[in-house]
Amino acid sequence: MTISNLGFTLLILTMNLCLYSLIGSLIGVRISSKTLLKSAKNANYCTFITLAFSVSCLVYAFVAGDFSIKYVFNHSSLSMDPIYTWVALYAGNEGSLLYIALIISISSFITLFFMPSELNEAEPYIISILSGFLLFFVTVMIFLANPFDTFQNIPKDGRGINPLLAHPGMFSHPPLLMAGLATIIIPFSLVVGMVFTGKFRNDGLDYIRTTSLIIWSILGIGLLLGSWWAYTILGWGGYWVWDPIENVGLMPWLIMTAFIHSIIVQRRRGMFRVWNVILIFLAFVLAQFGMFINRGGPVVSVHSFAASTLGYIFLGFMLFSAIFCLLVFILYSHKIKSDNNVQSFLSRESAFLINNFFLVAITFVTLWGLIFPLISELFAGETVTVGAPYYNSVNGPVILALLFVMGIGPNLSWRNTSKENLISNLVAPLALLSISFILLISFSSKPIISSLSISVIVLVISTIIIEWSKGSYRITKAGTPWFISFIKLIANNRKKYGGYIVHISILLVAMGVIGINFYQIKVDKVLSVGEEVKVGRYIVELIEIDENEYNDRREKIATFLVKNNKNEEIKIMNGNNTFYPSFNMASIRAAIHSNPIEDLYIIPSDFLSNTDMKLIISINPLVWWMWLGGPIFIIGTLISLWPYRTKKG
Amino acid sequence: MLYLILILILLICIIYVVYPFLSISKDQDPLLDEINIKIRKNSLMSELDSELESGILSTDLHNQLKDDVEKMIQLELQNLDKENSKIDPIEKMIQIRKDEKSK
Repeated sequence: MTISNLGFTLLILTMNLCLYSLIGSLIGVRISSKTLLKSAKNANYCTFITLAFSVSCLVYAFVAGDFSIKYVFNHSSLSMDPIYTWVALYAGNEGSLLYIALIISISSFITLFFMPSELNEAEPYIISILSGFLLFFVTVMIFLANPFDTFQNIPKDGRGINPLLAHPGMFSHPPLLMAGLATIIIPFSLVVGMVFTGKFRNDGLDYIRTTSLIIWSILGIGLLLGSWWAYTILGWGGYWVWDPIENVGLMPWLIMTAFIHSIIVQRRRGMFRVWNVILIFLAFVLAQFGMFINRGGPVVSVHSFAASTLGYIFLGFMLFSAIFCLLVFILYSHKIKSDNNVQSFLSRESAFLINNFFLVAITFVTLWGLIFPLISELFAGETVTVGAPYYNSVNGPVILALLFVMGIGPNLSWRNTSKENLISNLVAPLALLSISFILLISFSSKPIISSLSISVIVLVISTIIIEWSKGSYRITKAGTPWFISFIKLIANNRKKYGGYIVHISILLVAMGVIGINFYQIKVDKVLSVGEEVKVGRYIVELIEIDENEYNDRREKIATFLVKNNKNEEIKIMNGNNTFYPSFNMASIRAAIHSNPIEDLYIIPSDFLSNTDMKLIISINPLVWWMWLGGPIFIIGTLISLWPYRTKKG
Repeated sequence: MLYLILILILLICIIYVVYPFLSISKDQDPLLDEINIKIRKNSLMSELDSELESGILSTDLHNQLKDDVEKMIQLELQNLDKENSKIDPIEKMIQIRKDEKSK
């Protein structure tokens, strides 16, 4: 038996386990057999073992250089940096499907193992949905995209990994993004299970919130890491260009953002039940839409796997998912009506609802931009491109409004906010917004939208600081030092203040976006060796151009000396342009000097000769804060999820 | 070696899937207990609703009794026991409250 045989046999075993789990759970609940249900659940658990070993087989094949397996041949080579053999698993279509299947099995295991007793009645349906979802992926792999397919004649070397993937980002961005999208099945299955039992009430909501928050944060970090990767390599188009693949990752994240906020209202006030069901259904269908676009869908992207008929299998599954959701909604929505309605516009529920609408609006604007070219080509025969200007001009104001409500909302009370409270909570932040806006438009030559954006950030930050100060002050009155009071404030209400920290991280990302979009300085220049150019506060001198030849690539490296306005040396940086003949592809890495104020960003766009080259040099303000947003986002999420110690006795 | 790994994995999966059938408890199926409790709850709630409609209970008492039933059913589900005697106190409690109000 070979490694490929073992890996494939384990896939077949997984498929059988999924089938048994799916059918067993449905029959078990029908005939009220706890034994059969337990057996079906155990079968689901076992898929984790089989898939873990199957993945191990493929990883081993990569590390050992087993080019008899076509997938290993297509995504690795003897001259490749060995470290990338560990992540080449998900470099291509088949391997990434195997990785996704593993993630689904792990998340199913964890979800079912820790499921609270309140969800016992819904458990059989949850098991069947999880098993059915996994069954789809495993079946596709077995019959259409086998990662263990082999050659008759074994090649001596492989093609190598896609050059654009040979980057540290490969270790984090794809696995997190794919994990985030795939595991949307978890809250989806929990909600559907509860809807089937006619009970989408407080029981189990905490569990749904916890799982959703974890998945949402994984997906969010995956998106941010993708932005960072794209920022450092020219071939990906920049930190965010509204590429179709970026969009299909963003849309489910936006809907999940709406969901995790809306579920708070359901928990607190018994409201928005039907709306929450719609949201999770939308998130799930959009995640499947992403699969379709990513795997051979009709939209061209630098990110997508090669176009193939596999994309239409995922289209079919997406349509099946959509029909399933629609049927469930039609048949069961009458059983999940809310207990209460929004009583006042000036209430926290109302703010959450408004923000939900904004998030859904951004999602649909993005979706329309993505599918419009397809519709145009299909019905009008015209090829059109929808680019960043459309998304920025339409989504920009909505995102701004979203941030504004993010600042106002937490200052509103549940049910209704009195005029006195409204004034006392908001007069200072609104005053700061007004002052900053007036100052900016008076002294800045930038568009008004940039001044307004910064002012809204000032509003949100001030509301958070005021809230924290008031809360800490209440605790200091008991004699506790200020810093300890602050820590106690967060520790005593982790969900709320963890949420505030996450909001801060969003503001940091927004700051970076505003800086680069409105305050960027950009210069195109042709330089010879020894020449220098002044850009902003920097002087950039081209010191030398080197060329290196390797087995699989030709590399041109430009070395720059960066000085400040006083001609003092800051640092020496390199940017490179590497060409991979076997892929007919070039990879350009920018030279980046980063500090909290701005990034000096040098792109070696074209090497004209051994001594001359074309450069694109830009000063990108505040980008450093965008990346700082990532760790703060994680900290905020962890605080929000941190369990309270339960008292014994 | 690879055959050994495969056989090992197969055995683990088979044992784990079949195990629940081999360890069937002779006691009453707890899932049925749970379903019984829920059916019992629905029946109690319907009874209280019809007593409200017919004027036997006041609205306040009706709401209070429904809350009490809900709480005790939840406790019952959390501490699921094979003895059915714990369900009786719920009905006793309802009767006691009705008697108190009628005095």
